[in-house]
Amino acid sequence: MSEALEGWTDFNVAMVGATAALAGLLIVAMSVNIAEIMKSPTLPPRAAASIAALVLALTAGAFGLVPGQPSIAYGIEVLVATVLAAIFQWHAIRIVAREDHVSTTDRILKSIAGILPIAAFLGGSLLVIAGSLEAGLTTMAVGSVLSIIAGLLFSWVVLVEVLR
Amino acid sequence: MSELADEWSQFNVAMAGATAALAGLLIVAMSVNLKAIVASRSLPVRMATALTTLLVALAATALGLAPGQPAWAYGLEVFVGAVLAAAFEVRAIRAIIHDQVLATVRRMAKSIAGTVPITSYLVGGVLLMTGSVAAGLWFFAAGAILAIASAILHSWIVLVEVLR
Repeated sequence: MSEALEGWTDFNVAMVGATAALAGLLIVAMSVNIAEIMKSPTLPPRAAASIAALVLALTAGAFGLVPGQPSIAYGIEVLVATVLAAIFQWHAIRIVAREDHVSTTDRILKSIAGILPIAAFLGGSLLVIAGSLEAGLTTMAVGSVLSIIAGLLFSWVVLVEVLR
Repeated sequence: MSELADEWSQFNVAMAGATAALAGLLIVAMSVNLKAIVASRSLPVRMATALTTLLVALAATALGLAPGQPAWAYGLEVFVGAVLAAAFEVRAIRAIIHDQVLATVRRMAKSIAGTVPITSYLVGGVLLMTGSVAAGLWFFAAGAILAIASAILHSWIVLVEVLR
């Protein structure tokens, strides 16, 4: 693997552990108020999208640790994982868009936290495939951090906000 | 295989932590709707399969960090674990097939989710024992990532889908 990716090894090791732990946290946080969550049409698909974004960050971190692969292969792996996570996010946005009695601002706020990490991974993987390795890896790292923030935010929503 | 094992050590360190965290998650997720899970025909054995597969992933990444062992021994160890998981999966598939309520497509989808990571480990084990070390380790890596995806999918099923 290229030198540029090797520099990210410690970051990737930390991210694989952190995202796996947070995916677990999110599911446990959901379990507390699962009856309330199931009453809402939008919360389950949003939860699925949040978990998918964390799994995307986990997958990107894990593939980043695979030795001896060309950087274009890494870019393609992350791109495929991003498309899979984007399907979950797309589904969530469609359900949120169909929801009644919700202002446009609320709809955008509900969707934006999920869209940002996916967009970062999409941009990052395309940059890596196109050959801009440094910029691509940095953008992906931003995506990992954003997916963790989105995961924590959503854990808060299903644990606390759902009861208000 | 000491040199190759060194290259994979960061991947193995990260994935050992991640699979252990997710094994804990899977058990916590099961505890929430335990009655509904036990009432289902195929879910208990499918969960046992998902948990065993994660344990194989944990063992494979942990044993990959053991110093000074020959590649064939590593392959054999993981292969034995994967055979054990495969035995659970065979029982799970039989339970799914006997579930008369389900459409064929859903039966296949349910069977594939558990089968894919185990197959990856079985193939990787055979490759390592026959001398294709680099390819075998790649199959192990794919198995670890797929085992995590499968574990999260199963956590979602026992937490959310079981209530629908």
